[in-house]
Amino acid sequence: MREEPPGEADASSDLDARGQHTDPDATADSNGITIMTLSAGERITEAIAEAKAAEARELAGTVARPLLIDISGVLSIDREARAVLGRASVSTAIALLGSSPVDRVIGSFLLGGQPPSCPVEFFSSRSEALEWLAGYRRYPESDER
Amino acid sequence: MSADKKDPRLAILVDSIVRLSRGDLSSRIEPSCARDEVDAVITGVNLLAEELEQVYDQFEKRVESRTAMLRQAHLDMMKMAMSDALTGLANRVALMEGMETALARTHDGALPPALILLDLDSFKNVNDRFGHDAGDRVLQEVAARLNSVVRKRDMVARLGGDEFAILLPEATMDVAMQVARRALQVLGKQIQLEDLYVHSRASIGVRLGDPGQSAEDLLLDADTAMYAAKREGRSIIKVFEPLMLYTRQSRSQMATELRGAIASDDLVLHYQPVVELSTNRILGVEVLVRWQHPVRGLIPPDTFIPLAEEIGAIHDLDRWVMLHSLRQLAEWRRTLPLDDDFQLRVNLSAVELKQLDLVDHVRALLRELGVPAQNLVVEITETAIVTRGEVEMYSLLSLQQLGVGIEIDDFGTGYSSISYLRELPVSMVKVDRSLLVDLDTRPGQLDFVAAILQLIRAAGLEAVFEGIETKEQADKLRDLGCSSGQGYYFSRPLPAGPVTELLTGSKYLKVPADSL
Repeated sequence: MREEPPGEADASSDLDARGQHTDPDATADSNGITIMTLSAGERITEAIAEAKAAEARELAGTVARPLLIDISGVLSIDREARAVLGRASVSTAIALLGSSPVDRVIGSFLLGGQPPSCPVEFFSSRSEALEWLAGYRRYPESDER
Repeated sequence: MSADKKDPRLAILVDSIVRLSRGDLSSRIEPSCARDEVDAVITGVNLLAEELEQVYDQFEKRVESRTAMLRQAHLDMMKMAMSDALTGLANRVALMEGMETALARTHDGALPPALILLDLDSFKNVNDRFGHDAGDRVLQEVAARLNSVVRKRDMVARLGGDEFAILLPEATMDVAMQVARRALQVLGKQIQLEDLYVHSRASIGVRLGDPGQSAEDLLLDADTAMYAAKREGRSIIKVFEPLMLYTRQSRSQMATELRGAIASDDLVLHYQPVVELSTNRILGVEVLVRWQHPVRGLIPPDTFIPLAEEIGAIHDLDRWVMLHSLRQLAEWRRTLPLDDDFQLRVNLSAVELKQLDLVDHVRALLRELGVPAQNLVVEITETAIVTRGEVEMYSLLSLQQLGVGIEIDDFGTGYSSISYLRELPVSMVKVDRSLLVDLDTRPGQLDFVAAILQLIRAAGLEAVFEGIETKEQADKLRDLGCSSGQGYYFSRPLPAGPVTELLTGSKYLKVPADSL
């Protein structure tokens, strides 16, 4: 099952320090690993994929880093959106995180279009995924582990 | 979901796969919220269908674009096959098609097409003198000018070489003549190629098609009219007449016969004595070729020599004359007490003068027959050397070095100035007969001839007068101090037999006391 991000269950945590709503699915950093979350129950279009990829690029800067894409519960990912995510070349490794057989099928199509430019694995456990990705960190902050 | 209860999604899945197998690649199934294995299969099938649809789509687009490319390539090839690469005009294939279309319309009562054929006069000279690049540019300019005199629906074509055609669909003779005259007019203007000015006049044949006529016949008729124009004097327009076709056919028959006559020695040589005016001593003979035709009888050279030039047989003809006349000279030298300076004068065409092996050929013949080179004089026309081609100059210089005399024929009819002749390896000038015609009657003509004679002498050349027909002419020329001449007064051209008799009797020609 999908591991809920801390505090996600609590609706009040959607408010940041200034009392404004934050996006629980926003791309985030976890110890040098980029966490990209594709919203559950959503059809991922090209535009959504572009926005997500832009967030990931912004987070990574010019340095390649491991990427976790959480596709748990995603309804579908358009072909064009798959092409956008497949082009992501700023990653050292990609872990696809899903919880159901459907996620697994969607995951295998997500990056299956062309030979991956980096190692790609499907995980159903977030912690296992992060552990696997940790091995691909190149950033100095990886020492903070 | 338990195994004994049938999952309804499986039936939906089967239906969807059936639809996909029938080619409906847009078929998709909505997975349920369960997101279990069945949903995974559904999702997989959906994604595979999407991939397949995409591949088909791309495939179709590619086929479409390749088909478009093929179609374009086909159009390009058609255009290439139908147009002339140098000028961009239509070519012969396109013209034939255009004619066929225009002629077919006459069946529905449309006016017949007119075909105008144009052949540039002296275009070969442009290539020879200025090179093929210049020639190509002249052809392009001619194409542009012809395009400027036609309507949009008319077709201008290049048939190859310097031959052009204009097809006017649904025309009248008036329209055709207007276009032909305009074409003649625009081609009459000089073409400037950087610092060169070139004339590109044309001979034009016009044929208004007959309803039901074939394209081939229309082309042949226009071509026949064009040749008639060319023969009649160039830079003129001739409209097709059926008689022209007859003339052309008989000409073409004569061409075949002439080739045969050269090959089978059916030509005859006549010799006209050239006489020393002060003593009537026979200085030599000029060779004149005749054609003994089995049906038409003896054909004069002014009929068949232009034909030989036109059909490219002049080279063979010249060689035939040179060989057989030199053989005759060798025989006379063997059997008769000829003077050492007795000369055989042989006419050489412009074409022959351009043959690189001319000098070798003459040298070999002279050696083989044992004839000294100084006993041979070649007569060339002014027009043959006016362009001063390199090969012509080489031929003349080499012949001169060999010892062969060189004489300019028909002097006074062409372009040469005396000072120009001085620069050429020429030793003699034959003054054209036209200068003698009015010698007895026209006031001042004698002074004029005297002045020409003086000029020729001042240039260090000798003058021979031809066409001397009366005693008065001979006397006057003699009084002027002219040394030699030929003409009916002395003797008409004779076959070898009578000339042999003449030379056997005396070295001096007996002439009648009165004019002929």
